[in-house]
Amino acid sequence: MTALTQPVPIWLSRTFDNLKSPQLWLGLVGIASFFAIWQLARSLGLMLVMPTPLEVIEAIPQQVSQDGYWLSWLASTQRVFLGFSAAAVLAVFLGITLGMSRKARDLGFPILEIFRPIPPLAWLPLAILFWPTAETTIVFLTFIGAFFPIFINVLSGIDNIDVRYIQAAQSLNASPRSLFWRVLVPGALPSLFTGLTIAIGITWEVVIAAEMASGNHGLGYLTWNSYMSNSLTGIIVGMLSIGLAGMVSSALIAWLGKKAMPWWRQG
Amino acid sequence: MTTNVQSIAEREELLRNVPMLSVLPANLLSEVAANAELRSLDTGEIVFHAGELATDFYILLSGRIQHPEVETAVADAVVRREVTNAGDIFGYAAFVDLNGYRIISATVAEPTRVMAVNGAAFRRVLSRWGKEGHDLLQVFALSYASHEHRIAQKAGWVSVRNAGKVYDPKGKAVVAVDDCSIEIRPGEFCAIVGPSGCGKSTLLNAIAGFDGLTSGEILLDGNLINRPRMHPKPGPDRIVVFQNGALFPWASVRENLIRGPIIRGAMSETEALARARELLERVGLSDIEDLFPGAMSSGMCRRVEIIRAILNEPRVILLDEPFRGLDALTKTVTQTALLELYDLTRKTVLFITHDLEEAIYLADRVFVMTTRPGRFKQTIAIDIPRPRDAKMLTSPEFIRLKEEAIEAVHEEAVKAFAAGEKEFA
Amino acid sequence: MNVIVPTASAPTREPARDAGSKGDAYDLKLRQSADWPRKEQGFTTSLWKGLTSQTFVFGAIGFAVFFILWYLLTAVVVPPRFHFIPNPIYLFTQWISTDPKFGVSIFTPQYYEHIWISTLRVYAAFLTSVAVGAPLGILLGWSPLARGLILPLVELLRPIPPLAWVPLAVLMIPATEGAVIFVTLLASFFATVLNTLLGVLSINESYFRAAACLGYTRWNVLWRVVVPGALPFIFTGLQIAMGVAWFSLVGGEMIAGRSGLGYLIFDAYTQLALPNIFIGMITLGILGYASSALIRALGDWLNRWHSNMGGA
Repeated sequence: MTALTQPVPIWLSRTFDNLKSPQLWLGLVGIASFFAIWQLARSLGLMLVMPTPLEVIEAIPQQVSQDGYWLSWLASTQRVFLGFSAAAVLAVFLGITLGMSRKARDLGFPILEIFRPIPPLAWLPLAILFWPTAETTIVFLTFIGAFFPIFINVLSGIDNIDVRYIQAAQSLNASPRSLFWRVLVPGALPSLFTGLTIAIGITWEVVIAAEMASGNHGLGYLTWNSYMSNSLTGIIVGMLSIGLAGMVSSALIAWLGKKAMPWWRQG
Repeated sequence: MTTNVQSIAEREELLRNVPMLSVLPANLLSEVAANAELRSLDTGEIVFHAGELATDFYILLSGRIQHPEVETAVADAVVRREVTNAGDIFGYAAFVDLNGYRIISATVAEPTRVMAVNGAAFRRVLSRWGKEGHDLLQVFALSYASHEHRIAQKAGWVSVRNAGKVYDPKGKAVVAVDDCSIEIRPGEFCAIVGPSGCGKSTLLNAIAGFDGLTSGEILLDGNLINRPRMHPKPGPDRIVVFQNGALFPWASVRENLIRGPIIRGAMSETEALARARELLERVGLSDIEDLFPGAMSSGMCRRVEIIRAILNEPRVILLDEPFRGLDALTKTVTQTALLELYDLTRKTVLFITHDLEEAIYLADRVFVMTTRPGRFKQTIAIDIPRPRDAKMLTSPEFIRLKEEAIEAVHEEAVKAFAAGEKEFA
Repeated sequence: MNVIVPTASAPTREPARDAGSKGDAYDLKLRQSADWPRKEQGFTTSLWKGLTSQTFVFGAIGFAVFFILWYLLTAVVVPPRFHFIPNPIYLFTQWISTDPKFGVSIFTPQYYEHIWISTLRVYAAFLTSVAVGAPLGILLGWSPLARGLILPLVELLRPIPPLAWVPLAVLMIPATEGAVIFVTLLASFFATVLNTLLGVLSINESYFRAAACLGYTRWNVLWRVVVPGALPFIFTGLQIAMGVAWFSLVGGEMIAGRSGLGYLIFDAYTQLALPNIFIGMITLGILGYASSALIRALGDWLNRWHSNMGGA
């Protein structure tokens, strides 16, 4: 009897498959050229204000080990989480209500549409005046930023559910409750997640800006601080951290989406 | 010439000595023999003239025949200037072309004995023989098509030889098309019928130049257009009419029709416009120049797309289930339009469909394809004269032809259904 | 009234055989009549119908409820914190007064100066980002090679919020004006590129194949297939880019600006000129909406064929 060969674990073999793909190498070439050009520009004496990529990389450990760094992460993440969740809950509730009832929609939609084009940051002074603490101010702004995209997407998700699914459920004698949970909710989920993805990007934007304008701690404040003390490496490290935070949150939402919608094939 | 009346058994014996025909099973061979005649010819006799209607093909038993029009030895030509070997066949026009006319003549160089076999009967026998019959017919078709292309200078000869396509998504090899061979003669209207997902679209994409092959070759007018490890290029010599329509929705009908020839420099704008209008009127679509595809019904869109193909003067027109989404009534109208345009321009046409009736109605020859992996199972020659109209759909001839094929097609459809094939494969 | 009614004397249709020539003329006329025939209505009738429709009435009620609540909460029963919010009547009178208390109303030149500056910045940044972003997006969508090389880089830079670039931009670009415009540009640039890319990718493969069959050169494919085909998506992207541009502009003006509506709002806050805050916000809302509506209208006009899709 021949010996059984140990199968290579799936994640390892998948990694090897990915390594073989030309896409990966092409992307790396692109990114590498970007850094090369940046380095070259500095060596040629252009953009003397900017640090070189090497300087930035060297500065990273130093920045990261400072006291405030991880606290900033915590502060910003907390605000994002609070504002985003509150917005999600309210937006889903309103989206479903207005999506399902014509009356509610006619009542509420015009007002919301008036408020929607106002950039969230324009609310800043008002929020500062109205809310007692800086923390609540920032969370409120985050809420405003995240609310509208989620709401609009949930609404359009309910609108766009193919009426034939509803008719099919009705001809199978579905109760309104069944109809809601088994047809409307799954049908609107993809749009909801599109809205969530858009909203999380906006949320980070708002948090950073709000922290820059009126903050005491957080990643935005950190970056602003570096600006005030003219430390460009600090600014870049700050920017990269924010970018990373944004990517991680988006990935989290995407993962949640896959879990919630195992049937959804994208693209 | 003298005709000797032999018994069927004797004729059968003679036929069995012909290498190509010896492979036929006994019952089919007797049937061929029943439609064959032994003839003795004297020197100087003319076996057939160019321009004659071709009914019989001939097998040389002894003697020598000459084809004066044929140039001397081209390397792989099957039709040569002289036919000298016993068992050689000449007069191919009879069994690949219904109502065909000879393009060359045959004269007797020395006292000769030949067996004359009725072409139509032979075709019918072969189509009852399934795959082997298809293969044998292809051998003959290849010879004749290459010959026709050289002598008669007709363009649009599509030669598919042992084409195969294997997809390899992550290690699981899927054989879409396996060892397919057909010869489409210049000006012929051929149809491929098969269940969904059998690989007919894959084959068409390979001919059109959108997809590569993993084995075999495809030639157009003797030029290689697709083979393994080669990136094929689509072009205006092989225009495709697509399944869901590919008229550019952002351009008017006029723009869709005339832009192609103008870009290639083949026609000036006025010429293109005039010709387009002529063809539009032919199918009853005058005055729609300024409409956009979104404002027209699907039937109208398909007709415009066919006209767009014709306007670009291709060598071959490839249609990939073009009438699939149309309702039955629109389909009839559009099929009639296609036939009218075909009669007008006589381009080579390859038509893919899952609808056997449609194939028989439109085509000169119908190829039946098996479900995945796709192979050719059967060839049916449609002996119905042109121009055709909808009345023939209920004629006995049509029904007979349909009966011939329907069992084969149905068998494949059941297999595809059981295998859970998805549509639009 | 022009409603088509079948009558006994209507001619019988020709059999299917001739339908190619005569039947389709009838088909054609029906389709060309834009829509199925409907009853013509007078202007006042349609106006009345619009005004009394549920949508309009309920919308008006919704508005009314909102304003009444606002008034009640800020002028009648004022809970803590709410005294910072001016009541709507006061706001409105300030907005239209010829001599506003804090210097900004529809009659003051400063108002229009701020509007002009902000609008100028937004449109400058927006148009530049479209001019650069749209061609890049088309390139990325069309050429898999370019996509493989450049897209990962774009995806790496994208998560960094445009406003996080403000400090860097202010240090690198000498003029503050330039810095604010740069940040706005960045924001709308990414949105434009991504949506253009998606637009090109959304074009059905069949159209490219058909163009190849017809012998279109690469140049022709670009202008006669890629651009028209991606245009609807591009315009959706432009609307988003416009919204994002306004968003970033306000942030930029607040943080680093010295004029414009964002600056107005922030300045009003520091000076406790409360009505100005609201005036600024509402004006921003109106301008933002108008800009998006403009783009949407332009897009709808250019893409008329798109709304008719469905039959082909």
